[in-house]
Amino acid sequence: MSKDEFTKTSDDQIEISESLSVLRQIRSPPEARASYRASIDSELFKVRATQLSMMPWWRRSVAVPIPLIVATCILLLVSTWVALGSRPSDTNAARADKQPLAFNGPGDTIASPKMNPLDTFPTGTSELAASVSTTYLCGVGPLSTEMQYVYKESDL
Amino acid sequence: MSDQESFLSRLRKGEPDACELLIEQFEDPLFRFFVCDHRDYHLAQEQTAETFAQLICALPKMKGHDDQLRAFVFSIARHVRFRYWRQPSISRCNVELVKSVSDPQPSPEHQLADREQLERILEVISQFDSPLRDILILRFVEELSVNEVASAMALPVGTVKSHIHRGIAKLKMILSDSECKT
Repeated sequence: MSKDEFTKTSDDQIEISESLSVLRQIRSPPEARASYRASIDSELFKVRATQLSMMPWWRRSVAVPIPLIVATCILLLVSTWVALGSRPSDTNAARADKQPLAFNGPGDTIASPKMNPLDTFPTGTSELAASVSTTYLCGVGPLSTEMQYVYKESDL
Repeated sequence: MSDQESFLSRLRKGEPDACELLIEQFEDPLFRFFVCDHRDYHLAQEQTAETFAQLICALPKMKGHDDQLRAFVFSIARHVRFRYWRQPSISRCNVELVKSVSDPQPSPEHQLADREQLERILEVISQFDSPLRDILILRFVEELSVNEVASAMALPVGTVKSHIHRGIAKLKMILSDSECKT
């Protein structure tokens, strides 16, 4: 495009722009603004509702009243405190319950669980002895079985 | 972050003051765009409202920065207009009745002269086909840059330039003809 042609085009553009500038008088009526606003509001509502429905359950939130939360917290604290206060200090007994008694056969001695003697049995130790005796008849097999448990307690 | 950019981000979040600013900025240009297309003021109002609603949906998906907002708004307006074209029956109200109700001006004589001139230009611009008319309005009435017009019309820049060139020649010819007649 030559310089003259460019200048001519530019002048034409200015002329056309001036001719069409009358169209700038067209303005949206002021009362229409309310309808534009309502249109945007309704669309925003739809968009937010869609976003909420598309959210996975672990990201959703619910509104819980503050008094309800406070009451729940207080209840939880009180119940914890009551549970801790009413429980005896029988941790050793609980530990003893957990250990199973081992019995390996006839003549075996089952030792009671190891405990601190000063806690529950301050004066001595105890032992549980078990014995099994079986009568056999040759060619027939066992006739009778007898089991015997002996609980021994000795002073220190 | 510039003011315009923060405006765009607030708009994407759907903040009410940003939406209000959007209406202020674009209600007149959009209304003009539709009126120049069909000269029906009532329908233009409906289409402008529809464009704002579509913008709220489309803005979060908008690619690009603040300088492309105007082009984006007019591209949405074009989509809205296409959708109205596809609808089989549109209840069009009487244009003269609407004009008599809206846009009150102080001086009746001045108003009449302005209106006659406006009618004449609207008559002239209605003789153009859709892409050419849109390009001329966006370029010379809304003063969008050639790149913005190309982006709004989804056309290459070269095509827009050639349309502008042809449009200017045709518009000059029509205007000179109508002046000769008057």
